[in-house]
Amino acid sequence: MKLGNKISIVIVAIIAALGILTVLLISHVIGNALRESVQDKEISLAKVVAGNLANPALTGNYLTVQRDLEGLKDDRQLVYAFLILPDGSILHTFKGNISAELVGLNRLTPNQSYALKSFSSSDGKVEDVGVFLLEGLDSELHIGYKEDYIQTTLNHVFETIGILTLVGVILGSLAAGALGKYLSSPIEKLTTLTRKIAQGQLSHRVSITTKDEVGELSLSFNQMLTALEDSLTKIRVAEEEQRIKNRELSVLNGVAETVRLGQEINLMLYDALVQIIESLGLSGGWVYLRAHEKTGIKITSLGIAEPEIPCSQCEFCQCDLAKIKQGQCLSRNSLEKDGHTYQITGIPIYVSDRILGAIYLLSNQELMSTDLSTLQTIGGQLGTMIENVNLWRELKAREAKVSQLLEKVIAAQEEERKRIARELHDETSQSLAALAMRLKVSKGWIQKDARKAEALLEESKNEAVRIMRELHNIVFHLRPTLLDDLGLIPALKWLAESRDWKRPLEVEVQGNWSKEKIDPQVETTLYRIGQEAITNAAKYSQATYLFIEFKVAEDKALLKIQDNGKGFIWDEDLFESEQGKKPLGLIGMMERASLIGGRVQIYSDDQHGTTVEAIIPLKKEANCYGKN
Amino acid sequence: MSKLLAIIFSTILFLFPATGCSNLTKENVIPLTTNDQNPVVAKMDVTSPVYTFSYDRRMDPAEDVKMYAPFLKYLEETTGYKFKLQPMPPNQNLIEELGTGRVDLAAIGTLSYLQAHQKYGVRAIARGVTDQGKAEYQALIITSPNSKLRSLSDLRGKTFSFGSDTSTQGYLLPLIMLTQAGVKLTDLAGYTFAGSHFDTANAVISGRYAAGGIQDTLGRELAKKGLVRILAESEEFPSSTISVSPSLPSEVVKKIREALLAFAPEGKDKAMLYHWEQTEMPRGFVATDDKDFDEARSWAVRLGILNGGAE
Repeated sequence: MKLGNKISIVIVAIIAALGILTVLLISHVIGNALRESVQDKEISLAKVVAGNLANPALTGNYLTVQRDLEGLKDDRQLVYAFLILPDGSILHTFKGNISAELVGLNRLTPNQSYALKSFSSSDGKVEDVGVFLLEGLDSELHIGYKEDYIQTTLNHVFETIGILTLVGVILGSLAAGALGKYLSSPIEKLTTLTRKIAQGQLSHRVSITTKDEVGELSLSFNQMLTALEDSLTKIRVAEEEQRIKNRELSVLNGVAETVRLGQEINLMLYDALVQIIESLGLSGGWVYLRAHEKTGIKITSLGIAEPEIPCSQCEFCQCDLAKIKQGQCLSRNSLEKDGHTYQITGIPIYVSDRILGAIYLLSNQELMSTDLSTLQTIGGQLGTMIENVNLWRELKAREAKVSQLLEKVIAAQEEERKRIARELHDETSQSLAALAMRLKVSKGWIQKDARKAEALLEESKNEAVRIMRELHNIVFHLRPTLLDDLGLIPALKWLAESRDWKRPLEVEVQGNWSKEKIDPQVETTLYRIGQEAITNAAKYSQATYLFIEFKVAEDKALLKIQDNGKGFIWDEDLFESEQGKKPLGLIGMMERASLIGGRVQIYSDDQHGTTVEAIIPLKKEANCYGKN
Repeated sequence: MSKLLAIIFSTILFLFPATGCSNLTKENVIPLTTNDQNPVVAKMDVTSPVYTFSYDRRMDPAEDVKMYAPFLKYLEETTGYKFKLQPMPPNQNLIEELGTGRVDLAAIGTLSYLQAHQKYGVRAIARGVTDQGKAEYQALIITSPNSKLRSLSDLRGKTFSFGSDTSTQGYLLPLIMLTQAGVKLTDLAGYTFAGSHFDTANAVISGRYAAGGIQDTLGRELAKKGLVRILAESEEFPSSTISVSPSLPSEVVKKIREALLAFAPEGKDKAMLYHWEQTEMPRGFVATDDKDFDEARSWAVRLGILNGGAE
């Protein structure tokens, strides 16, 4: 129920209740007053009549008394009158005989000045008024009055007050209605506004400017709304930021979950693309990676069959890290497909300053800056992921190479042992046995033939010299003393010239080796690399000419060995092939160099000889190995 | 809201029963008349012994009642007995009523006492004290203020009004005065017994009678107001008595006498009285006995109002 109606009902009810109360109270008061007044009048009249009747009654003039009593009946309100004389005899106004009940109804006691009694009679309601004829005299006058007219008068009063109350109720209702309307209209406005607020429309304001409580309420309400609106705006902004962050985190997390070492890059990128498209609610996309410097390959696509937008190969070539971070390395195109225009946004996949590829995403509208920022982060994340995968692969490959090298080293050691053993057994041991036999024969011939013995001893001496040379050769091959005595270049030159190659080699050396003595470890490493290169040139490339260059700079040492052999076609796959013969010698050179922070570069071409270049840093840094 | 309405309506409903409940109560209907032809007599209170008091009519019957009613109340309060005022109807003789005991005590004048005493042995127990502080009173002969009468002898050939034929001040004393002035009843043009002092005063004031014998107290009061002129004053005779029936027990008489002697109408008992100054005992009572009335008795006998020998 509306407030106005409530106010109306309450006011009308109050007016009605007050009206009824007033009617009752006034009726009571007026009734009593009227009754008292009438009773007073009746008593006075009775006393006057008694006074008038006293003398004739006391003088025995009963006829006069009788006439006087009957004369009273001219009053229409009077029902009867009777006089009880001191001797008990009664004079009355009835045509018949007076009843004993009436006589005994309202007798006076000596101390009373009057007696009143209401009773119902055969003539209606009657009030009996009894007074002494004279005070102190045992004689009573009783007059009966009709009471109905009192009630009639009261009824008339009731009617008048009732009509007035009704008029009051009607006027009060109208006034209450107007008041209710007046009081409730601002509250209705507030209610309407509250409903709008409940629906989230906070921009509305109350336009009540009265200076009463409702006005103050409205002012407070408006202030509350302003504060509420501000708070809501802040909450929405915070929610939006939170939502964006959540989305960003969700995308980043989703992409991060796709990264698994050992998994195919294509598969990881596909999973990442799915995550990005699902999380950002995009239409589709694809990923391009640069396999080599300039070749792009499509890795994967989603939501679009074939990318009609060709990958601009050099789109991100000029990007560096600063530009990426400033958001300048983004491509924006549009694509018409099936009557629908898509926005295509390209985001670089990068690591450090290198661009590894790009993600292209299809959306119905341009992506938000926050999403772009997230996508750039993802681009970096994917780049790092690809880099890590590549590094992991390299590591694996290197581990394999090291393993192979180790096998080769062990095999080489075994081979060397076998060779030494064979040489000691087949040659040195045989030679020593022959020498022993020769010495024994010589001993026998000393007594018999001193000359022959001397000749035999001469042979034995030559044999011993030869054996000594053999042993020298064996020892030299284990570690050339020249290296320690003369340095790297003489050792290599001696190696190239002294070995019994199928074709003798013409050796030319160049360098500044004699000026400085380098670290023995570097020297040994370079010697072994050179040894391998010389061996390869002499054994496999059918070279006849060998150029050896050795330079020692301030921070590095460079050894270059160039032959004029048949060479070979250089291919990275040589190292990747799982089957077939691996070039373990080349791998060994490279590994040796890398162990001390250096590198080996091999340049070769068919029929154009081979150049092996080893560069070893001379100043070792604590983390120089870890960089590679 | 429903609570509010409930409160309002319950209040209204609560208020309604306040009206007219009494109207719903059924009362016995009292018949006003009866077919019984035997006259109805009102029952009078006879539960306790009541001593009846009466009096010589002195003034207006109603005025007499009004004067004596409070006096009886005094007696009731003082003696503890119940008293009942009984004005004498015209058809009854107070002397006889008092003598036979139907009236127990009465305020009667000297003449009535003399008659009652002589006939029934009624005893006077107290005499009234007048305004002059005496237990005697006088009678006045009054005339109208503009009457040419100057002395009682002028009454010859004039009309005269007595009070009651049993009244001392209204009959005996005026008759004594006329006799002393040498005016016989037969000298008068006519005379009447008006009934009371009031009636006599009315008769004189209205001019119906040239002169009248009246109680001294009333006569002087009227004279002060200029309504009458006092023509002559009588000698002093014992004032009115309170006499008791011979049948009244002596202890009751004793108590009543004590009460009468203690009566102080101008003192402690003044407030309860009604115009007591108009009575013949305005200042109370003194004790009396029969000897006080010898002179009056002799005059009454001489004038033939009282029998000579018998007592």
